[in-house]
Amino acid sequence: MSGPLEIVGEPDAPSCADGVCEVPAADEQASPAGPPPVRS
Amino acid sequence: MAHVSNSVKVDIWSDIACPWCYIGKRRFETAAADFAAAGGELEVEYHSFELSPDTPVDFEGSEVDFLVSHKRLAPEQVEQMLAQMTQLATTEGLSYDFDALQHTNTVRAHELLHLAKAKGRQLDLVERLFAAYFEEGRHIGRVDDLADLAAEIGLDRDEAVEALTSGTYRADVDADKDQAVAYGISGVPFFVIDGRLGVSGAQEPSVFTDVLREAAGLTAATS
Repeated sequence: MSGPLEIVGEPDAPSCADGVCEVPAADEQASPAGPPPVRS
Repeated sequence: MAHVSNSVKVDIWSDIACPWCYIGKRRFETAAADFAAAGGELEVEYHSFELSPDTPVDFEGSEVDFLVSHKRLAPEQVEQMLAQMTQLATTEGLSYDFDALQHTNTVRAHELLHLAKAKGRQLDLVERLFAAYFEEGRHIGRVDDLADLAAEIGLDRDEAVEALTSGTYRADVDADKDQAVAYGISGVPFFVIDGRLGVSGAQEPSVFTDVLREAAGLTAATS
C-alpha cells in the first residue's frame, strides 16, 4: 500500500486525534443525514 | 465508467480507545450491507493506530481523570463531551458506559488483533474489544484480560498469552502505524478504499455507500 490518497467524503466527519475526540454541537446532532459527500 | 470489478478492499485504521471508531464501524457496516445487497463484494482489514501511546497500562482513574490530567481539559468540558458522545452512540445502538470504562494503553490490543488476523478472526475480535471497552468496562490493556477476550471468540488462550508476552506482533503494529504516517493519517477512524481513496472520520452510512459503489464501478463517479 503506498501512494497518495484521493480524499473523499464529508470533510467535517468527526474523528479522534491525539487522544481527544471531536464532539459536534448539540444543534448539529439534531440535523438528519447531513450534507451530501464533498470531495476535497 | 467501465465496470471492471465489484470487489472492493477497505483498510480501516482505528484504535479501540476511540469512541468515533466504534460509531464509525457501525455506520460503515450499514453501508457495507447496502453494498452487498447491490452485488458488491467487500474485504475489510483493520490496522493499528494508537491515539495515546503514552497511556500507562494500569492507568488509575476515570476517563474524565485521564482527559483532565493528560489533555488538560476542564472537567466540566470533559463531562459534557462524554455525555454527548454517549447520546450519539445510543443512536447507533451502542451503550457507552464511560463511568465503567477502564482507560489503558491499547498496543497489546492491537497486537492481539494481528494474531486474530493471522487466524482469520480479526473482525470478530475488533467487535469484541470495542464492546468490552466501551460497553462492558472490561480491561483491554493487560495480557490476561486480553487473553480472556481472545478465548471468548474462540482463539486459543495460551497462544494469545504467548504472543502478547513475547511481542510476536509488535512489529506488525509498528508497520501499520508507519503506513498511517505514509498516508498522512492523523486521526481515526480512517478508511482507505482500494488503496487509492481516503475517507476520514465517522461518516454517515450514505457517504460510505457512495464511495464503495463508486470504487466498485456500480455507479458513475460523483465528480
